[in-house]
Amino acid sequence: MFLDLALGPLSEPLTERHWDRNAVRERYRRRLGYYAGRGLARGDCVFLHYGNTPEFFVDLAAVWSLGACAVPIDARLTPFEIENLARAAAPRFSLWAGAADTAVAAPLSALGVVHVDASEADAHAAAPSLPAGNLVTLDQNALILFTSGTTGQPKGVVHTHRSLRARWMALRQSLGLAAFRRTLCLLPTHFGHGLICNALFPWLSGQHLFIVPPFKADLVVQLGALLDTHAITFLSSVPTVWRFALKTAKPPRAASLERVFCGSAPLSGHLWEEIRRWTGAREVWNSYGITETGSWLAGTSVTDFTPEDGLIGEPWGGVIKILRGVDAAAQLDAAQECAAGESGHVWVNTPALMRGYLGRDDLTAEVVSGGWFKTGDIGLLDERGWLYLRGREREEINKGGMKIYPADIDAVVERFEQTVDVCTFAVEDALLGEEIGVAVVLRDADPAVLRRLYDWMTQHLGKHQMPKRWYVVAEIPRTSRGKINRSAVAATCAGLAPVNVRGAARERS
Amino acid sequence: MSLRDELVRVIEEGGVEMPVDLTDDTSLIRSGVLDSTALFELALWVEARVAPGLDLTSFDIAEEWDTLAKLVAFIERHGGNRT
Repeated sequence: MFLDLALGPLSEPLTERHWDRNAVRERYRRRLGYYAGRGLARGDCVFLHYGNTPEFFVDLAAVWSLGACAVPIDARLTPFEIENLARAAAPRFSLWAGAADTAVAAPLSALGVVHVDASEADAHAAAPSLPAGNLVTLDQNALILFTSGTTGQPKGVVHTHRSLRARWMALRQSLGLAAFRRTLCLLPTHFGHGLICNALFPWLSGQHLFIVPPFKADLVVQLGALLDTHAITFLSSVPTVWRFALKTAKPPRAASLERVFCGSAPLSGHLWEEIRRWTGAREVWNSYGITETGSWLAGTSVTDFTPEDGLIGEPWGGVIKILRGVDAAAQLDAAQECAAGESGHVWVNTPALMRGYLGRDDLTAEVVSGGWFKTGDIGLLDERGWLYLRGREREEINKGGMKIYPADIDAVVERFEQTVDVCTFAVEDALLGEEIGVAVVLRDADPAVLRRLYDWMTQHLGKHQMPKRWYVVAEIPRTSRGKINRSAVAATCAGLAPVNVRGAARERS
Repeated sequence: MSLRDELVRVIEEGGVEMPVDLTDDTSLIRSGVLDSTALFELALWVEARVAPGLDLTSFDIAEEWDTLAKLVAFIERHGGNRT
């Protein structure tokens, strides 16, 4: 079949489980038989409620081989958010690692979703071959990654097998495979960077993938030892993890690391140098990736250079243009290219571009025009054609590489009965780069009301979306056009004392 | 405010929701209550409290800081119990 899955070995250092190629193949074939028997077929959409385990990867391979589209779900999302995603994606099946979470399963069942305990697949007989009639084609939907809108109108990036394969082929051509032969994935597998590039690119090329739970503190403080013990040759991560590891973990001694990527958030020249020193790796790359382009899109591709703030490098499998005066995709034809060294809007043309946003042609039209994708970043190309990023125009909070959309949080707070006005904004954070702050105007600012608001938010927002800094204010300043200037609100709140809403909530209980 | 309560405040201000049945012996790191972000913030606070430049790689942080009781003992052992 066209997928040509060269499934590599899978290891889970935390549990010391190791599946060699034969074991992986056997488990994959058992899943083919089991899921086909449960009725999973071409064109189905499947939620996977777990990740960062060997099982997740063989399940994903089986789902794809049966012609279905996979939707990895962030386990931190609330039942309210997952139901919202289900209304948008209309999954036929929900896969669980064990029994389904009843709080999530009930609303999904009401939508007609069938829950399947994936752990039962291991007891099933292996399928002798793929079921007839399940021929997978390149232009079928393969993967949907929800990047925002979990509390309102979900924004799901749809990739086809063609776009994913284009990304992997471009990476293989540009980066080779040798450095990826023992790859560690520390990143979440519901996240484009972690799933498509850090994990699937090496693993589906037959390389050995080591998988651990994401951002687990006691793993990061042992990172050097982890790298040595498993002779890791490659890993990708985000600046946040490196800041933490450099401070708390002993460096590796075995010098197995050959290549390190850092992406999803700005990497300063200083941190870049620190990572080079700590890892001892020959190559430390600042990678630039966007979920819509199949993640890793560009990186610095030379070894003898001086790290600089914002330096990205050359594109992999795509073309980058810097355009001026383009606010919407519809204006692309009228756009002018910036001269070398001049900052403008970063546009990308790549065969790895998503099909579009799920059910949101309006949003897709805002960023895609004639095969070109508007990244929402501001940058420049130098005389060598190297990309430098200088900022962004998207309204998002980059929390250690996780993109949090203020409007998603505003939408939840606004629905609380005592809310008069709200503004979610970014606050500087030493480790994450940016954290979430929220300013709220309440009809009654009594502590009991604030505690109810906190409870309301925990019911509707994932833990990672909960604000870190809370401010109760008399009003939210607006522009003359009635718009909120989030930066101005953040600046005002910087001079106020935040409320410890978590302590108040715990003391009550 | 006791050192123990101050630690709880610092951890909560770091965005962590402490378990409702929190005790001085509740595992904070190995159990996953503190993620890497929260632990980093706690490390900065302890470092400032105990001694700037404290080498956090010279001991097993996941073991020696895993509970409030262990954290208090660590800070007191390093002379950081002054208020």
